[in-house]
Amino acid sequence: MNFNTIQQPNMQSQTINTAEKFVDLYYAPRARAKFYQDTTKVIWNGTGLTGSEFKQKMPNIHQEVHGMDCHQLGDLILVNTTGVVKDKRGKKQQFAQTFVLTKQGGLTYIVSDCFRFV
Amino acid sequence: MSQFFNQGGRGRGRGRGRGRGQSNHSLFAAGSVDGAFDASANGSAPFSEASAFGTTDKSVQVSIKGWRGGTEAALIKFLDNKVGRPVNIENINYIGDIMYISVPSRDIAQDLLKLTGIRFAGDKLSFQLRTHPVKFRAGANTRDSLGGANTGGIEGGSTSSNDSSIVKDRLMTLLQTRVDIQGSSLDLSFLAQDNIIASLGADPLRDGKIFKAILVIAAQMYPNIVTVSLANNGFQSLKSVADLGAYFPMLRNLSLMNNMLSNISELDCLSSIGSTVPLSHLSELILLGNPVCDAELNQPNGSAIYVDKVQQRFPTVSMLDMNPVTPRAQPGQPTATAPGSGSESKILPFPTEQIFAENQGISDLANAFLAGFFGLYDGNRAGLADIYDQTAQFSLMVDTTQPTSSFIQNNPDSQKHIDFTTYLNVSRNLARTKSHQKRISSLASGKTAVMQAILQLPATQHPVQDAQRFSYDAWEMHVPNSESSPQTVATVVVHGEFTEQPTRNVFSFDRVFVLAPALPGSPAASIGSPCIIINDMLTIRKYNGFHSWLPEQTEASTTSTGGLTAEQQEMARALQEQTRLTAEWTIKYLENYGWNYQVAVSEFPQIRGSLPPDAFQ
Repeated sequence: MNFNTIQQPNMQSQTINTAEKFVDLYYAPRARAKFYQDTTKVIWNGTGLTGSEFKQKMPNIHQEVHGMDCHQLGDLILVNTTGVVKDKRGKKQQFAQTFVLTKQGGLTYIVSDCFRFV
Repeated sequence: MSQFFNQGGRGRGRGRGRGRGQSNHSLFAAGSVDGAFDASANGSAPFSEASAFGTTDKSVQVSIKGWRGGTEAALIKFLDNKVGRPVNIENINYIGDIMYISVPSRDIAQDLLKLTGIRFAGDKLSFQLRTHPVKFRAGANTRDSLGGANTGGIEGGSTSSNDSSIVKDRLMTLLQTRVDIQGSSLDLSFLAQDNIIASLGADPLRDGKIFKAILVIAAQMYPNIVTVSLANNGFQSLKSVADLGAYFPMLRNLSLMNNMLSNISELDCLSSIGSTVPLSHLSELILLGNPVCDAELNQPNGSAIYVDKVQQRFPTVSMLDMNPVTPRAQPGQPTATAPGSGSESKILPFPTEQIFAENQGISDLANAFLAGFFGLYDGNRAGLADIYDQTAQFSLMVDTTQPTSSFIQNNPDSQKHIDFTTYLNVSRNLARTKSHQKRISSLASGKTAVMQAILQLPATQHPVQDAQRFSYDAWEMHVPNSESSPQTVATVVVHGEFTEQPTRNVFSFDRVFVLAPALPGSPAASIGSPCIIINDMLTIRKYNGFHSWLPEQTEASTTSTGGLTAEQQEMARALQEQTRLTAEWTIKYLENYGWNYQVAVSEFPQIRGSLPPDAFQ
């Protein structure tokens, strides 16, 4: 069975396109709740939550993305980002975040979101 | 409190009813999980007993969540009964509501894990194996519950269950006289003058433990309390009622009238600055009659600053000392990390956990895989060819962000210049690389390309013997595939460090693995690997230490404040407010003036013109 398809350039472009659009929208302030479904699995610094629980507690943090990569995974897209979180005082903390995305009806949703301070 | 991914009816029939302890239908529960990759490839076992992954320490730590009712002693008896033999708990510690116990053997721990989902005193319990045990300082974190190990000061410190039920009864009686008819208002004022407290021999002015005992019982008996008075109790600090939000999360009105609080920072332990359970619904607060109130209001522009300091801690407050004030946030709204807080992980009201595994099967898989993988990656990288799938993908990304850990920043060794060229040449950082050609060529697709890519990278040494230097999160996923068949996979995200050979440079790394079970008879299975790798995404960063994922109870929380005393942190916070300097520059500036706040403030107007623009926020 084939887990992945050997990546052709134009297939990669599509994957990269979706990933980049998502990253731009997700990391804009206060815009991210819509990407989470109730069934989304969220792991925040080692605590597991459902998407609906996370949306209630969603922290209002400012994140700067310094690194981003993505892979295709079957019909899903794996997106990996690193960067810094800044609090109100300007104190910085590095983070690493891994998303698994799905497209439903032309819209992108998060299947899982794994966030950690590193 | 959430149960991880407790999807109830929406699940696919995996592991329901008994929670996540035993996932009998998981693909990963079957097969070899003892973690030993075949030794023949290398002449020595890649999996070392002393590895961070899958250690075989005799004493095993288990965490228990969900326990609310009943005494600690009753819980222990209950567990003994259900397991069918004495559990022989070696020690007990708490972080918030989570109980951590050490038991003498893995067998007993496994028996406990099987109990997940069982009800005790009306609440479902869940048990998790702490393969990486939380380290507790001796004597710290004991919950002051009756029947537990820490009831000193009540009845002369006796912990027999007879005594503790007498105490409990009397406190329940006491509470009945101090809670209103609706059960929404609790009056704990003048406790030292209370007859029942006197009859217990407790001295609230000397020993605050009686407060914890009262709060524990009150929270069980009266879950709807929204108003609490702690007036006239001689409080100089609020330590004995710290984490009040854990007992009364919906608390709206709090009176601390006529106590001995001399500094606003005494409130920190009730707010997001000093507590993982802040009073996020607080509307009314009374501090009248405390020395701090007079002291603050006597300052020039005192009342504005006073309100500001209170609202920094409780942004939802709309009435302070019986005067209306404009709240900064709606009750229950999560706020960003409060200014000056020493620990970066207080953004959500959950403490940081070093490891996450969705269920036991995933946990075993992750441990076995990681131990074997790093052993081969360091010692015989070519041997990994048996573990990467034919269609595997690999890419590497470099993030040259400056280290943010103050521990690292203060360490002169970290100033050494590190050469990232070999990694930058193959880096697929889409946030930095816009060249279409490089983006495509830096993704290795298919086993041959993957092996070629990883064999070109410098040799490495991952310190897997040292558990604290690594952190991982592991969970299951269902992957639809319109071109072939859907798969169940495990995603494991690891964070840690490695030393590059022969340069001896140390780097931090993050690595995302997508794994599928190794089929019987496959090359992976024949070398003892439980799985094959489908995706491997590696990030390499400047070394930033390992304190970010250690639970806060370790020394990490003191080093993360950069070694400042509480007073210095206060000064820095206040000065930063006024000057709008960055945190870094504020500290530099204060150091320059020997932490003399008055002088630093008065000199600032003259100095500011000569400071560089990036000194400011």
